[in-house]
Amino acid sequence: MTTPLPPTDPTAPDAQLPGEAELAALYRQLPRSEPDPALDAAVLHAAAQALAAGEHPLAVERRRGPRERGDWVRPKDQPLPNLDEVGVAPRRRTPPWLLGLGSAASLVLVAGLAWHLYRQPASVPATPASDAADTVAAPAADRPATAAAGVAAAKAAPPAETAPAAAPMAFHAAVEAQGVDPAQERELAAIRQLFAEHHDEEAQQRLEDFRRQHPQRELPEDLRLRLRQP
Amino acid sequence: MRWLFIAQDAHNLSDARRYALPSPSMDAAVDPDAMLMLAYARGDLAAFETLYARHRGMLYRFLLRSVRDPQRTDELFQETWSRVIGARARYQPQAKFSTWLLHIAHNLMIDGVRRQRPLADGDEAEVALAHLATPEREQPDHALSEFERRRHLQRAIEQLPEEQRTAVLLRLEQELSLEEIAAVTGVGRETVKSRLRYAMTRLREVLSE
Repeated sequence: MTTPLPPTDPTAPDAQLPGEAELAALYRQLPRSEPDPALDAAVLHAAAQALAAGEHPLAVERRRGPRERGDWVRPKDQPLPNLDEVGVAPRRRTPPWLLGLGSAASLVLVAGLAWHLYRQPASVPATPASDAADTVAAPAADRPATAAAGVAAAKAAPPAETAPAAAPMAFHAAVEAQGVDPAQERELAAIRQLFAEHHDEEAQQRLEDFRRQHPQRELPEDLRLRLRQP
Repeated sequence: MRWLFIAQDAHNLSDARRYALPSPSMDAAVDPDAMLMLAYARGDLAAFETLYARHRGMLYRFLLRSVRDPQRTDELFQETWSRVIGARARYQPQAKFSTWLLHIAHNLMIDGVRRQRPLADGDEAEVALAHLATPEREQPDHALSEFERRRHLQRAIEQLPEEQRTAVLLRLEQELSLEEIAAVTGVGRETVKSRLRYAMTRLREVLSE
């Protein structure tokens, strides 16, 4: 339920709220309830008792409920133990030269990491690009030889022809860096070549054989997509 | 807004916040209630009795119309005065005594709503308020319409959102200024003004239906 807000006048004094006089007059006619006499007696008794007992105010206004976290608790009148007597060694100050050495070592480490990260992309071959070329070119080659597909295949052919030649080299460099068996990579390259030359059945057969012989070997993305699901 | 802490004890900051009021614009030094409270802090019980007699009714009605539960009202009423008694030694008249008293009551009320149980609603509240005494001066014929209007007003106040209800009760029952209501409820003056405008517009609508 929303009520439209009357226009606000920030300069209006307190006494000029709209309709307040009428409401106040009616409000004053409402029953004027009073606290019970027993309640009066209880409050006055508490006031008198506080004076008579001379209680510290903080002791009077304790929480009624169980102690909660953050509640102030009156400390006991016991002196704090001397740290020397209880055998607590004072904390030693760190020498300044140690801070300098630590900072220099951190700087060297950060610079080394930055240099390593900067150099890393140059050493990684362009595998994703060649893989993508294979993936794009191969489906186009599989299409039926319709007129339109022929045009598309002709347009896609150059990357399909160049990709197989570039891909094995790039892949070899990558897998040699990772310590993978070169024989397996040669086989995968040959399978790619077969796919590129449209010898799909033979390529598929060799790919399945490879999969059976090397179940632990994770296939590249382009070949995994071509692998027939059982 | 600068805050003046009545309690200066650094170990008791959480309790001190309960008794802190925004810096008032009024001159509280001439507040006779503050003088009575200071006298009570010095050991004058009669001063407290006078102080209590002056504020017991308005505090009780404010609580009753806010929480709409007589039992809870009694508890809050007693707890509010207990806080006043407990804080007597730290009391400094930085604000009007009534503002301070209502500030304590308002905080207790809000704490109670959050921690314990919801406000009485619907039938329970109506029964509680219906048991309040009716003025005896009314004539039967005229009284019916006046009674209906009062009843409508009571119901409309009950149905206001909590913040608006508190503001309108402080204004109509206690006749507090916008600054004083702001100090009690802990919001800005313009917020109070806006709440009052909404509330009074709604009350007038109900009464004109």
